[in-house]
Amino acid sequence: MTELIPLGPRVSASPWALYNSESTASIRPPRSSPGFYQGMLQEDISHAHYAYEVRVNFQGIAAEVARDLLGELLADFDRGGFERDPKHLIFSLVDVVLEESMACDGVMVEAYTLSVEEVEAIASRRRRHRDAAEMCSLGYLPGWSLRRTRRGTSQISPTPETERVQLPASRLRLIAIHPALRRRWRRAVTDLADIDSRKLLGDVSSLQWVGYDFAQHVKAQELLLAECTADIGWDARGLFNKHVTTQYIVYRRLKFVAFWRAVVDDVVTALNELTSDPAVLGTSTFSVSLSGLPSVADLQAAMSELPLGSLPLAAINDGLLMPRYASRGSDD
Amino acid sequence: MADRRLHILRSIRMRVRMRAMDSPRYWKFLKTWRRVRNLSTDGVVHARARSSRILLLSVGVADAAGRALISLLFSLAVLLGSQSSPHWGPAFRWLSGIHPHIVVRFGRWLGRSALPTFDASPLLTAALAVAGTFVAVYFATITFVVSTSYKDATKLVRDQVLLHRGTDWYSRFFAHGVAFTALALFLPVAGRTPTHLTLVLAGLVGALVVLSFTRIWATLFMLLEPTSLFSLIHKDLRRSFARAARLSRRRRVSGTAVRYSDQKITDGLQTLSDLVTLVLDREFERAGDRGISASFDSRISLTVGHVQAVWAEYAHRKPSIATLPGWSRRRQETKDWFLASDSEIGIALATRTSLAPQDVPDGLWVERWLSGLVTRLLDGRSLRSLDRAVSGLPALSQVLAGSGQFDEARLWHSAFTFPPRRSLAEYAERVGGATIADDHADKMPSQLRNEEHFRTPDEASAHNLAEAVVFEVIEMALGYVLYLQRVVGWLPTAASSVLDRKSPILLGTAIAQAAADTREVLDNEREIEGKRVTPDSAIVQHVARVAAATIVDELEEVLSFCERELAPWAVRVGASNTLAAGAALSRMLELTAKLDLANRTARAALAALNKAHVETDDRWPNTALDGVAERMQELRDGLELPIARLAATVAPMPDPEKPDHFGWAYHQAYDDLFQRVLSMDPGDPAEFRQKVVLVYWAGDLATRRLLTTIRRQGQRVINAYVSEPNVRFLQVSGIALLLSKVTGNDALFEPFAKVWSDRLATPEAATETLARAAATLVSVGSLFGLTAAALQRSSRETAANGVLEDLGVPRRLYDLMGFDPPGAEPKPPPNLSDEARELLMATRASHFEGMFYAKWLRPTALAKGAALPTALESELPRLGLDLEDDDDD
Repeated sequence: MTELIPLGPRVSASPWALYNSESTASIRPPRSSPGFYQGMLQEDISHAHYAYEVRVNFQGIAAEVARDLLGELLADFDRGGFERDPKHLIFSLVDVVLEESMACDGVMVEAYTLSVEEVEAIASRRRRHRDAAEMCSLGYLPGWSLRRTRRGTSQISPTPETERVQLPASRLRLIAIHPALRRRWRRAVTDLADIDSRKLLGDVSSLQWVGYDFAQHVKAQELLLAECTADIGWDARGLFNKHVTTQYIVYRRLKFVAFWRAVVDDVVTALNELTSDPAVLGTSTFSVSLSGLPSVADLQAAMSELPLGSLPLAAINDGLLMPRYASRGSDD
Repeated sequence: MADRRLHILRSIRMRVRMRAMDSPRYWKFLKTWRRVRNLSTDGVVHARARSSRILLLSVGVADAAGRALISLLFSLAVLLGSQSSPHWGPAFRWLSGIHPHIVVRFGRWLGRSALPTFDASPLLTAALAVAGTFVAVYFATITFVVSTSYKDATKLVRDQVLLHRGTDWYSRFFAHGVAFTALALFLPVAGRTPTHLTLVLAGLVGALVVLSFTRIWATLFMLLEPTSLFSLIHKDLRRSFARAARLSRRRRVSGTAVRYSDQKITDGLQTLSDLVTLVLDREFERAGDRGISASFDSRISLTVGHVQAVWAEYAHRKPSIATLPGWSRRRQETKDWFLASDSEIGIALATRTSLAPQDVPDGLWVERWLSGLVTRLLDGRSLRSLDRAVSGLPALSQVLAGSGQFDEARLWHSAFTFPPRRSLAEYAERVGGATIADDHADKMPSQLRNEEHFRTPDEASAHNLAEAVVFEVIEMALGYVLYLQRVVGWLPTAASSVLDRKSPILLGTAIAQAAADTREVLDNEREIEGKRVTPDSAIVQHVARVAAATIVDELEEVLSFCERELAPWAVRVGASNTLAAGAALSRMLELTAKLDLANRTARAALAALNKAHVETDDRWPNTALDGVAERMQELRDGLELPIARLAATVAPMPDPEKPDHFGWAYHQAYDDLFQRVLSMDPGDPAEFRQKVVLVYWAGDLATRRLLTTIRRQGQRVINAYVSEPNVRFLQVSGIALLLSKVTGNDALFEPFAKVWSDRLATPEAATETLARAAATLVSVGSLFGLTAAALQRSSRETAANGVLEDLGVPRRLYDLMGFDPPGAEPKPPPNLSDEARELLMATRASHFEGMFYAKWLRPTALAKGAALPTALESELPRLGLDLEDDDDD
């Protein structure tokens, strides 16, 4: 039987405080918006789930309770104000994991117990009182704010006068994706950033260069874009469609969805390790699963069948890539 | 693994290239590199062309010097060889089995030195004199040929004479001969005696010089006729086309090689053009114009034939040649004001200028050149001259259309047929049409006699040209059918054919371009993904889509051309009082049948192509071919009246010297009328009325003709033949009468009633018409089924019975031998009037023609005061003619 370690109040700093602090400006990554292609990729991977009727299923305890607990656990990852919607919280966590995977192994979180004030605030909001001991959460620790030494992991403080805070190792958890997926993701994003740095939007000075051929330049750029993102299968919203066949575009979309699905699987698995850990949730452990998404095996099977010509593109589109819109279309 | 490495290398190359593209130096370097490459290509091409010319230029000073040096060295080597071996017996050992003694002696003799008393000086003098004579005669001949036949020719044409390959051989033998003989004769001066072998070799070389000189001399005199150069130019061009086609099979093709091929072909075409100019100038000098006096110049026909042969040769090689990078030239194409961008139109309006032409690749530059030559050769000629120029040429349209070269076929077609069409239209207008009164029911239209036709100038030529013009379009339609069959046959192997770069696709530019585009995107796919993902079915679908669009577009093109240009032209020519009218209309009708075949084949081909449309979400051309069949029917319907008019106006008498247009037009017009009646669709009432009248008069003409052509037969047989046209008209009148009464559609019979009423206008005319009808019925009745025409009449009666059956009329009412099939669901019978029932019963008794006589013609004639042909009618009951008893009145 797992020995229960009592959790205490949050030791780490709130990520919002860290991002807003002046003292951390020198070490945190700039808040500038991502490049043209990079931004598109991040948006596409965030919005990939909209193509599916995704449902979150809970096992272990009542769904209503699990929903509340998950909402509190992932409160730090609530980027869009979807506090009550576990689906969006999970996909938001996926986004953060991918974001953090660029520089770290994954997302480091601190499991902690909510303070009495926080519990009361939640209770008043939800009109339902719960035992304060059960109200735990996962504090998001931005990778750039952490430092690992032999003594353990410490975090920078948002206030300049305060020393670094040593984080208790027993409370720290890592949510990460498979290293192979991480490598593919990093390579694609790095390459896109490189192309972004060369893409000069609105700059027409190159048109004055001797012998400059705009069409040739754009074609080379689009083919390079396709090549850079071949590992994850992103279709760059059709920017290089005219240089390849429709079948290849569909293949890329399958590959992209398969990549995203594998990332989602890894994140959900890591999340389940936390929610099923009594040390975090005591007796209220539960597990989460997603339904409505195609499996990686199905996607890979379609990718194998597509070059044989035995699977119509419409079937792939309706069954695997955009079933939500296909069902809406059929209703019409 | 190797693929993976290759993929990584490609990826690195792309990244490096992309980085380089961000620098202005890259673009500057690229531009400079292209410029240098173009310059070097130009230089190399020019140098190659120049060197090629120098090698062939036997009279060039530098070349002659170089060649003399080579000849000298070669001759010296041979001479030393012939002097060094004292005994040549071993060289002839292979002959020892025949007669060893003689061989050994001959070998020894060869190795032996000539007699010491051998004096070379007379020989030297003679050799020099002969050589000088040969050189003088050779140059004199060339000068004569060039200064007479080619005095005003361009350099390219003259080079064909000067650089004749026979000249080259002659100069080689001559140079070797002179050098060898000179060296051999120099031996005594050097204190050495030539061996017998040396002298034998000198003799052989001399003989070769004489032979080659004789040959080149004869050839040069043949070149006095400029058209003899066409075969040389044709041969050069064929070689150039073959070289270009070989280039396309290489894995990598250098720009220099392509440019060189391009240059060679351009030179050949320019030479051809210059020679055409020369031929035309000669004709102009001789005849003064393109009129009748120039019509017997066989050079024109020969020239057109050679140009056509060059075109056919190029068309054969084009699928390969067109794949060469940089092969297509650029041409300025004007823009469409309705499709241009707003900004362009705004600028053009503001600056009061026109839209700037755009630079587009021109894949037809060779064909444009050749069609220009054909136009120059044919344009402005008289009919007779044109006839001579184009007669006997094989049809090129089928070859071009059959291989999918539709744009090329249109170019050829316009160049080849436009001059004859224009001349024929002018001729038809000049001759004028047959005089037919608007209301010509009571008077037979006038016809020209054969003698009058033959006396008309250009009549025969006009006839031949009218056939040739429409025949070319027929060939194009057949080529289209052939193309469809090729496409359908190619479809199962389309994917492998597209992926195989080495084998050219012989199905036209559009499909070849689609295949090239597909290859390019598949290359991109391999570069990006490291493998091909696109399945074969998608490749097939892509090319099938292009093929389907091409098929639909081309059918529309051919049909539109026929509707807009050819049919109006054929009708205009067909309305003239010429022999060409029959040729134009008969060929035009044949064309409608071929178009119908093309339509049916296209539908089958499109059905096969539609099966390749696996991804139904992908866009696909509209392959429904809506309205095509109806348009073709309209095209055919538009010919009915001209054909009927032709039947009534063309010379009816047969002549072995000309086709029987009257016979054809009569049968066709009658068949058209019969089909109109059977379908109960008279079409335009005024036209239908005209057709009925014209067919009646054509039948009258046919009767007169039969009276003169059927001889030496029994009287009954003669009567049966002669009566047939009239009985046919009685039959179709009867069918029209019965159907109009059964259906209540009087418009169907009204024109027939008018024609017959005009024949019954006076009692005398009515008596004659009635007697004639009775006589013809009696004549054919006695021999029913024996003549071919009677058999046709019988089959038409069966068809008419079928129509009545379809209308639901019980068969027993109108068919003596007929009965309704047992168990068949009878159709609801129409409401038959008493009159209709009576007519049906009469038909049952005496067929349609008999019924018409008994139930309409006879009573109407009697009402007009006609006297009954009692004697003749006494024979009619034997046919079962159910006459009314009003003859008792």
